[in-house]
Amino acid sequence: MNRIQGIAALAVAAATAGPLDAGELEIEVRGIRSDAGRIYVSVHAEVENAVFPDAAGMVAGGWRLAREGRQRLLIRDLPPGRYAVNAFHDENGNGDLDANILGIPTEGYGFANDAAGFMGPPDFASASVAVSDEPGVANITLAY
Amino acid sequence: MLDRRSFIRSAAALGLAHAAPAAFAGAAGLDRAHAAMPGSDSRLLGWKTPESDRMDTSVLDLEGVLPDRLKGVFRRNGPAGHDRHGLRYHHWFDGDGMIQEFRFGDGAVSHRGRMLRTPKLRREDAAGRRLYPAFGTHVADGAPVRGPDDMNPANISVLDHHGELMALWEGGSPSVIDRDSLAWQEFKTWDDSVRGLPFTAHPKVEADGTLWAFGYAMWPDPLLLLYHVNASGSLVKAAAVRVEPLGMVHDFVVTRRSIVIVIPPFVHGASAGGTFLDSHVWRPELGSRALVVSKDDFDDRRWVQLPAGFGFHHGNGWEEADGTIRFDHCVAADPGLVDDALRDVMQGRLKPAAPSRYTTFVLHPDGRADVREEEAIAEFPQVAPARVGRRNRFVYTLGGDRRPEWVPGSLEKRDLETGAVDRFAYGRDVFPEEHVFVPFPDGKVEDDGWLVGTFLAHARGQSGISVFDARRVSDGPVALAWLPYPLPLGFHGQFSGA
Repeated sequence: MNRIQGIAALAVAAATAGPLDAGELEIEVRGIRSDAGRIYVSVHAEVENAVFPDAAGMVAGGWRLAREGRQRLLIRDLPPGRYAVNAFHDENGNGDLDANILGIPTEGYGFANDAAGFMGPPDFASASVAVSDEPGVANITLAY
Repeated sequence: MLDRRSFIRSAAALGLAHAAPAAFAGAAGLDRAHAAMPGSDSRLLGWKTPESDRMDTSVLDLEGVLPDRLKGVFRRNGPAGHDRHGLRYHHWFDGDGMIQEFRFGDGAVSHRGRMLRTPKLRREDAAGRRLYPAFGTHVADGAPVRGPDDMNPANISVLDHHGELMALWEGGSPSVIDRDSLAWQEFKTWDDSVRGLPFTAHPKVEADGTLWAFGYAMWPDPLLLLYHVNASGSLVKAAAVRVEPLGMVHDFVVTRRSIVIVIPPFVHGASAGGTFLDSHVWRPELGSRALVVSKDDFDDRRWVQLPAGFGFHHGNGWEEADGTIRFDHCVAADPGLVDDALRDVMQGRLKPAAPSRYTTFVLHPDGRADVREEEAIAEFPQVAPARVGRRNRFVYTLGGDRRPEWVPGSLEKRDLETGAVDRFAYGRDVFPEEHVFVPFPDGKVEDDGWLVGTFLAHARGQSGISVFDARRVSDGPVALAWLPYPLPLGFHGQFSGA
């Protein structure tokens, strides 16, 4: 489950796509349990030599102040394609997804489509959504 | 009220004494048992799910006289929720945990039982079906398992430490239990660095309250976890040690300076679609291995090769001045009990399996190991709590004297200095469970204390609890108290003095 830590590497929004790419991705993070800290999301493309959710596949991300219940983010300028999305609740505000000594997250986290693996992250396919001329929609329920 | 001498005579008349091990039960009890279980083998009663998630009896029927000075609460845990939502689990170890609490005081005993409403059980009850894989049962189309505690049934033991009452599994966190209601409260987090990680059902608590524990994890890697918790309940240190191959490990040993974890060659291997148990493979050619770790420095470790065997429980261990480590282990020739017989029993078949025999180990400082296996069948070993990690003279076990051999039949006190065994046979229709040592308030020598343990008189359809004078086990219980109902057979408990 160490790979989940990869999403801790994301900083603030960093859309890498060019201005001609018009794809949008609407991300809704649900099940936020408190107003403490921030909600981080990261958007990943499927790339060679990176297993989701390694940071190497990350193409965009962002954060919002945590608000109990739900928060929304809109990611713009994505080339059409499939993107896997994850989110975590940095409740103690240290800018990181805290984990125990085995790398299993100890703060709330979740994946698009509420995908989950067995004792680890889900694969790219199950945690991904399509972005095309129509905006993609990624819903993530956090689990603590 | 009977005095003790006349009680012993009446107990003998009931067949309690070793000389007459026919039955606990009078004819009335047998009739009742048969009425309750028409057409079935009453020996299987201990693997039935209780009719209710709650049981209460304010005053148990008492035989003999409870010692005035025996005051406190004896709590046990074990799988009880075997059948739910139309599924009978496939293995004894799977069922949802239930706390059985016996309160001793004022010459009486009360009982209450409470099924633990873990997050797992609550989600399953809400869904109206089983959602999570169990130790020996595959659940199709289940819910996501993000971490071990998603499937934690809290069903092996209890721990009363630093004022906190916990129910223990071994594949995930301890569960904090409300002392008043016995309700499940939350998973115990010693520290965020070990949050959600496996924690043994057999932590060792030393006389000063220091707690040592281990855990085993197969994900993300095969790892042994080590925990050092102080008497105030704070984590002092923890470590994860990669061990390959690794399989289920139930118990361990502490000495004055060391932690010893014996890893049997029943190891977790690749397996598609099976259960956690199914993924284990018996590889006797590997032998067993003992990992010896310094309590002071978890990075100071060595390995000792041992003959192959599969054991669950240790009684105790200690370390001599020159570094020689001695410990015992109840070891079977193979893991057939857990791998086969404890599945069969859930299907109503009591089949033979290699029983555990009392076995002593000496780990010499030069790396050699001596192993001595006795003929005697032994399980659920206990020592006086004050002896944990120090040299003990006595160990209290359940012995086997019936078929199948793995079903205990007697309580045995072994004198490690003389080899003598002081035995009480419970009788043909009674299954004793673990008996724990409760020291006399003013005890001076090691065996100054009581042995307190439950039993299931299956032919009579009732469970009960016994109190022995640990100095004279073969005299039989000084007191025993009957429940008006049977309890499912469980695993481990702890006596918390008043």
